[in-house]
Amino acid sequence: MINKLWSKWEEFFFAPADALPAGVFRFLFAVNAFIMYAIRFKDWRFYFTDDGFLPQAGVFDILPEFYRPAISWFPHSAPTALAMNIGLLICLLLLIVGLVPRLAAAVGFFLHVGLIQRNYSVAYGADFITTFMFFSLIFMRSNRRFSLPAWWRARRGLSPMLDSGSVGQLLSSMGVRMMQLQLCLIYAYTGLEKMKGAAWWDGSAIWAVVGNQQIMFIDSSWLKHVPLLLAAMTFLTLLFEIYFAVLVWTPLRKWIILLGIAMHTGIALSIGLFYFSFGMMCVYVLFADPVWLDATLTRYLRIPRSWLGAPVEV
Amino acid sequence: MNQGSRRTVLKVVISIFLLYHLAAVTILPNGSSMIGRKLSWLFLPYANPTLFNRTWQFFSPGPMSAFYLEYNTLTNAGPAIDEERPPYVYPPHRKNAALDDFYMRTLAGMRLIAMNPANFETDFIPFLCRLHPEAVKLDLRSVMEELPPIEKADPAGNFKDMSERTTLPRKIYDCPGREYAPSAPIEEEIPNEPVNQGPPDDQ
Repeated sequence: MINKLWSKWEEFFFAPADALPAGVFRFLFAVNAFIMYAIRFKDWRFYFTDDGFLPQAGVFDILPEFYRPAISWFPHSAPTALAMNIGLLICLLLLIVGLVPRLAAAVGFFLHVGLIQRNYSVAYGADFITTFMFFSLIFMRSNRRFSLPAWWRARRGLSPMLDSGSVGQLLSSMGVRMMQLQLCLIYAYTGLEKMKGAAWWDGSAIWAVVGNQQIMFIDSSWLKHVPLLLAAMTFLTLLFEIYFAVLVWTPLRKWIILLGIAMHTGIALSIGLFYFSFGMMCVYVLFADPVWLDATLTRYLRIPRSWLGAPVEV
Repeated sequence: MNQGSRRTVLKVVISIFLLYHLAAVTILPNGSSMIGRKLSWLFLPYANPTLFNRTWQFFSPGPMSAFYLEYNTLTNAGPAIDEERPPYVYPPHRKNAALDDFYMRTLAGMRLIAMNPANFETDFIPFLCRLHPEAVKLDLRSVMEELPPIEKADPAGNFKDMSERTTLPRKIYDCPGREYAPSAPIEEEIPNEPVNQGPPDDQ
């Protein structure tokens, strides 16, 4: 019995898999985060120095005791904050091209968390999912395909980077599973939390979301004429979030991911949470079949095969 | 130790870390539960500095209403109230879609700080005062805007028309380090803004 369980565990967490999904995930995540943090950088003094509304002395006062970290590494001066922001952007650039991705993810994770520690109040969902993506990329071998090194090797006719069976391979498989499971947890928790709310129970929550003038982009008040559509969207959101963690491991994976794409596109377009929505959708790539992903990128998106590198399992 | 045994040991070690990590990120989003209360000591030292302690509550338990601050500045020349000029708003309302998420960040920050009266007075009020170097006091109130239930929505109105505005009581805050020496007395009765109107235009 224990042997059987262990072998299932091994197969799930440590089995080698094609490197393409990890490579595409790395690229999409890093592009999204780079744009987001390059734009945040414009106001770095406001966010990370005493020029903003959170002086250094009160950094952790805004957090309940339960959440206060025992150790911290936030920037204590403006030059440090500036250096950390620049360092973070450099790490993301390295991740975009796939150079030293594990080191870049580790340093990026450290800098990213340090900056959030400096001003927890201005962080939102997009920043928190970024934390987990950085962390998972520390383990993933994400540059074996869809990266500058993979392209260079393919162009020179060199064999793909192979070291299957090493610690690196075990960690890489674990990193992919860790991120997949994290996405499941995020959806499950947010879906179950919604069950506490009256607006989600009575089907009117989407009405309140799209009608919140502070966050909406376009006035979609015409929706009042189709209350059943609003109720259906509300309940579909609930069902999607609660059952994603189960359905994504079944043959319904394709459909649940398509539903997720529709939901996040709706969130992005109606209330402008672009980085959050795109960030969540990046993780879907890790659930993609590598053969399908390869064909989609080369055939439909016309990405030259040399950019993907040769198929390789990590 | 041969290659196979070494690999198995590695898998066991990695699995122990994995179990610990997954337990942390599974338990701590519900940290106030009984399991969270009993086991948080085991996970908080790992999860708090790394931000793995996150709760996941997007739009839950219910979508938030619009919430912002409205204020007027009081100067030593008297209340700086101009009937023609709407009060200041923080964060200033945005109009269009933008890749810049400054607005979302300031909104999140204002909400978090406004929930904590101590931080609000010690951190946020001095910040607002810095935005208005002439101000010695701020006359401030919180505003919420909620939509009516869909059944009561005005069939011809847009969201702005339909929003129901609720204001919390005004409070006057001193701007730290600025001496109050009025050339004209500050009037006790500062006219309240009319209610049930949409938010003023952008600052």
